[in-house]
Amino acid sequence: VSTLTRYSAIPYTGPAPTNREPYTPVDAAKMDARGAELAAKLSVQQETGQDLPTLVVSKDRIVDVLRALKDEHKFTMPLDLFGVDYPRRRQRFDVVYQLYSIEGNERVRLKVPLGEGESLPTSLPVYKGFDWFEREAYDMFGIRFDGHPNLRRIPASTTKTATSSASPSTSAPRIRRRTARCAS
Amino acid sequence: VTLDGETIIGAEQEIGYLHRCFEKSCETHTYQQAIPFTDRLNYCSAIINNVGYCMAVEKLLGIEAPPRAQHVRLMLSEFMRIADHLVCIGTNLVDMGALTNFWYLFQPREEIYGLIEACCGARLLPSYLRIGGLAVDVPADFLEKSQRLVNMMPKFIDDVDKLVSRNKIFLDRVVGVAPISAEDAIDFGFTGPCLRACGVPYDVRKASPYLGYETYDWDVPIAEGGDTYARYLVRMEEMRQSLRILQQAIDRGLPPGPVMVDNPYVALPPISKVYNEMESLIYHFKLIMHGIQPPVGETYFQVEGGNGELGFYIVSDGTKNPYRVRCRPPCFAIYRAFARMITGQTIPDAIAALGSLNIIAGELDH
Repeated sequence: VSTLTRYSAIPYTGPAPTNREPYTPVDAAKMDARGAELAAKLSVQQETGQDLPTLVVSKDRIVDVLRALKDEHKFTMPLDLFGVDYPRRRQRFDVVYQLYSIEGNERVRLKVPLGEGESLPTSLPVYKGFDWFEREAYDMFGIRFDGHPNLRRIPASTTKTATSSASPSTSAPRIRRRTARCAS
Repeated sequence: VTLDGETIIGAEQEIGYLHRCFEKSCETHTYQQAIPFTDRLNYCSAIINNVGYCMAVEKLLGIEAPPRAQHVRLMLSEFMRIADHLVCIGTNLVDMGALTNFWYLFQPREEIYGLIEACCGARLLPSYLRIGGLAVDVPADFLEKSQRLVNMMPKFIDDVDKLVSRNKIFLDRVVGVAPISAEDAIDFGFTGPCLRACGVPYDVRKASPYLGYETYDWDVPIAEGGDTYARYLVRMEEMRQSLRILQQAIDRGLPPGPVMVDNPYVALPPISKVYNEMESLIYHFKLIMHGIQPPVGETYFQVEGGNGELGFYIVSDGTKNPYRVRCRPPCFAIYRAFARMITGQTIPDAIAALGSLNIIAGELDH
């Protein structure tokens, strides 16, 4: 208990802030169990202690894993795809996929670690809905999606007309170094 | 669009004119300071965005807003959902030349903003919520004001219903226009009214209830066909269902108690204590200077926004600034399918369809 709490006039008896300590979601055990089940079936790695079942997939296997999740486990809805940047990590980026299954009413999160300058295959053959999300990750983080039919910047596409077909090398956004601390 | 006579044979959307770096801006601000940015995502239903963001941070902190704050959050969310649908249907009908309905629908919307103004002084972009509760308590006559709104609202909705729903001119413009199948809608990541118009009864409030939605008696409206008319019908019915929730919420009454959590690491102490007690002054200083510092980790929280699933993914590195904030805007997935939906239709169809998708540029472009 911190000094602040001990001598406070405010009757607060809860824990002091747990910053720098890992976050443990309330339903982590349940999610980990479901994640382990999925990870074993798909033979991929799992990240524990998350608020959703979380799988860590290599970029070579991501399309196969997505297809298996869609066809065999009914994760039919593509909810979200985005990049997270950890500049101090060896593999700098995480590409995070979040899928939802209407039948099972459950969610799953996939993370693809990616080094700087690396690209990963597009998920468009499996989920049409990830089209713009991939373009956004490309615009914001410079992550290339191989095989994407129209990998132009979005939403910062206004500098070019919609019909221009700039080559990826000229339209790729610059990657800026960040100074923020990273979590892992 | 590419035209062949009057038929659209190809189309492409261009977005980004309202891109304001929402996600990046959050990284240089504290958790509380990011709340006004969330208002500007879907500015037609700003409080729902506040709820989504605040509850995501609260999930990360492992705290829960007090019952009174949760009750107000739920009521204002439903009012905002109605306001969102009123704007959507109103402007959609104006685009099709039915100006009268616009006035019928914008009057209750104005009254809803009056209620929000009574709560916190701001109207369109209230930033009324705080992490851990509400900025200030609601006025004493909050429930009476709400009851008056709930009583007057059905009249306006019914008026429009009578004018429009079986109107031959309207039906010619919307029935069978820009349809999308349920499979396609799911594959494109549709959520909200646009998905329910395809007959898929997915609603975040039912699928993963928050704020106690599971304790209310209400239904998820769906329609068949996935065309512009189906989207109109779903929105009309959703407003009635929201009114049902609101009536129950008013009948239950506001729970007594504070509207902010009792946690000095999250909530600012009352000003009288800051001026008169050393400890409270220190808490105040620590919160203003060092902010809320959640534990290291990441979390995702989703709410049902006006247009569909609105999710916030937050990565914390234990400092006062979020390491990464990701907003999952429902419009982004929905608008992607627009070109496909209008191909084979005509230009007036495209206008009717665009209005029915309720594209909010603030949310679409972050």
